[in-house]
Amino acid sequence: MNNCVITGMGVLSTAGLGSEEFWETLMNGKITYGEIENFKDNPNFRIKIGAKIMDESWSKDLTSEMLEKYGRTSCYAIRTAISAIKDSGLSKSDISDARVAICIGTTMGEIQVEEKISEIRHEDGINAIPQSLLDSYRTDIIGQAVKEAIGASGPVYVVPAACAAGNYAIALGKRLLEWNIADVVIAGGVDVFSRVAFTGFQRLLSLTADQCRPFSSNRKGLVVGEGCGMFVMEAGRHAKARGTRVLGEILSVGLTSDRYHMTAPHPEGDGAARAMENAIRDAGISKRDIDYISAHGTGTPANDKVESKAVIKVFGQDYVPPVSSIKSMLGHAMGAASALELIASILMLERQIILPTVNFIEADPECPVDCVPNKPREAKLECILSNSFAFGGQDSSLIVRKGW
Amino acid sequence: MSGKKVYITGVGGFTGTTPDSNNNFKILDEEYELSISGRQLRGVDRVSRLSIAAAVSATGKCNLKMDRNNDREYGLFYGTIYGALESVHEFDMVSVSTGALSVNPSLFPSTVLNSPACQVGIQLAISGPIYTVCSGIMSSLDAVGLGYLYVHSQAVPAAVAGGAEVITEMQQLMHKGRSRQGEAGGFIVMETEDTINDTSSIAAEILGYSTINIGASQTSHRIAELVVGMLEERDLTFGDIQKVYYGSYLDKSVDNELIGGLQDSLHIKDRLEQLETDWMGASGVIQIVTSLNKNKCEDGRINIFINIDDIKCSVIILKKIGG
Repeated sequence: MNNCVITGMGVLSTAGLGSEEFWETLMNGKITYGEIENFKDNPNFRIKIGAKIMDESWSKDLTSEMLEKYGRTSCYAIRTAISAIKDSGLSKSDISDARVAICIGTTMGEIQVEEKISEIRHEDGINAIPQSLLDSYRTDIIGQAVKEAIGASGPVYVVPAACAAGNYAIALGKRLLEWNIADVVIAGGVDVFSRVAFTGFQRLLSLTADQCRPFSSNRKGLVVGEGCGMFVMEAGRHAKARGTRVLGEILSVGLTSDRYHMTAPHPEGDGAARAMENAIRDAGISKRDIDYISAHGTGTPANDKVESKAVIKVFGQDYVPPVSSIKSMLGHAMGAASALELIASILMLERQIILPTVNFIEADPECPVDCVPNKPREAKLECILSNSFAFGGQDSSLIVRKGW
Repeated sequence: MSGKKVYITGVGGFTGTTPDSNNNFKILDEEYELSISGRQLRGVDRVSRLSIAAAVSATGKCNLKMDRNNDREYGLFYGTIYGALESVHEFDMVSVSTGALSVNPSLFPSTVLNSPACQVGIQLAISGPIYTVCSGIMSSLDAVGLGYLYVHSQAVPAAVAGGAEVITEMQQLMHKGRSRQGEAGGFIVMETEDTINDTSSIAAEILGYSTINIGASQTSHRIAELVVGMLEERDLTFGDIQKVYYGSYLDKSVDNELIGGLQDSLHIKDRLEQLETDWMGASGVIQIVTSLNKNKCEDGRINIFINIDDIKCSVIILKKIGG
């Protein structure tokens, strides 16, 4: 079977527009969210905190034609895919000549296009909606935009899977390499900050009013965020043939479903535990080989409790790896979250440092895990398990091994 | 890729037959609601209800054990162009018109794009991977194709795959097909001999799936080459083909040229059937379901399903089994 290695990665996040800046922000425990200007004076929004990318230089490598033709989600995906390809050392002709597939996960798709459409429809009626907006709204456009921008010739899949979308896309990319359908896959997750998500989570009372505090007893909820993380994934033999550096190897991805509820996690962590168990089994390693768990860790009372329960269920009481959540600093980037967490995990493997869960105040007896509170920690890291659980009960656990 | 033989053991679905004011085919709610009566579906949107009904109809005809005590992690693969977009729009319109505080929070779950697939997954107690696939007219054919690959490679023991679309005002503005549109929801069940208890449930064997990017220079030659490659890999000849089912979002002139080319290359002069109604992202699975339901396929004969737009082309080959 073809193994799957990562040879390039691109990041677009509130923590930075490149890997180094991203790492530095997280290492310093910097919080990248705050009061959102648009909602500051709006009495309809009791919670004002969100994570938005303010540095508009993210778009500097995109042509004006791309920026005009596509919505912000597609543009995030294009920019970050280009950045990942550059990082991998693959040239334009490498991309056009090889069997390069594209797999992109998202929660809300081109949601800012939807929001513009609603505003126009409300103000001026349905017939006033410009065709250009309608043309850029479909979810599959995101994949087409990336394909067009990078000149890939292989299959394109856009696979919405809510907050597990990045892991789902990477899992599909891994399969395409294993099945020998592609030599290279550009895979990752993307979502832009959306009024719809901000409104929805607000109405579900899932948002925190100040800071995201995963696993802390006084945690109040999540922070809506945005971003994009993209990877160049290659069959091991393909990467070896071109003598490139390997950032990490995806050993396995466990994908399960809770079959329980659209918004609430299974109270016993059924799907989450099975996803972790499946990933460990498929990786052909033992539980003790997992050195660290990158948590889904949204900071909501229910999610963190259930994730902790599932981790204990899988690992037992004797050995539970450290578990931390960078959402404490980034907020929840929705469909991009798992991709950004994989980027952080690869950087942790490279630098042998575990990133912390910041804003931690007090341990919660219902979350009996070592969440690496508030400060990064040096550690010997060879394999990391990264969890992402989603609306609809879609659960995913990915195992990545240190590169070479 | 070597793997297990994949059989279709259940098919089900609904297609619109009632013309609306634009002469598109709608499905009346009562046509599918009967299939899902008694289920806990409060707040579940229309596209999800149709999807659940179609999936229930498909799985009801096979012997696959679908309950919460089942420890086999079946997969679900769901293709759609528009899917949850109408629910997203409705939710957002309320927020814009009357303020965020007036939106009904129970409708928020319907705004995530994987919502219809997850609603099906919850109702069928699917415990394995749930993939929503958005790839234009190919959506449900790609969903079936990915489901096939997952089962074939034994990544899952069985899979339910298909798709659904409904017609709405916004969707009409966005849609660019040139045929009459129709609402539809269809699913198939795919299993290997490991899970099949009763061989009489086998309707067909899926022999292969492939998808290619065709870019601006799509030619019948390239698609024919793909199909021929798939046939040759399975020791099949043009003579084995009973019919080619074709669905497209290409311009009419390009389509005519392509069809002519395919008919010549594959020697299937009178054996290519074009999609008359545009079932949108559900087109591929509806073509499969219809061909099997109406016994259009003859035992042992090969049927090929091709969906295409100006970006991509997907192909599934299946062999009918039984009368």
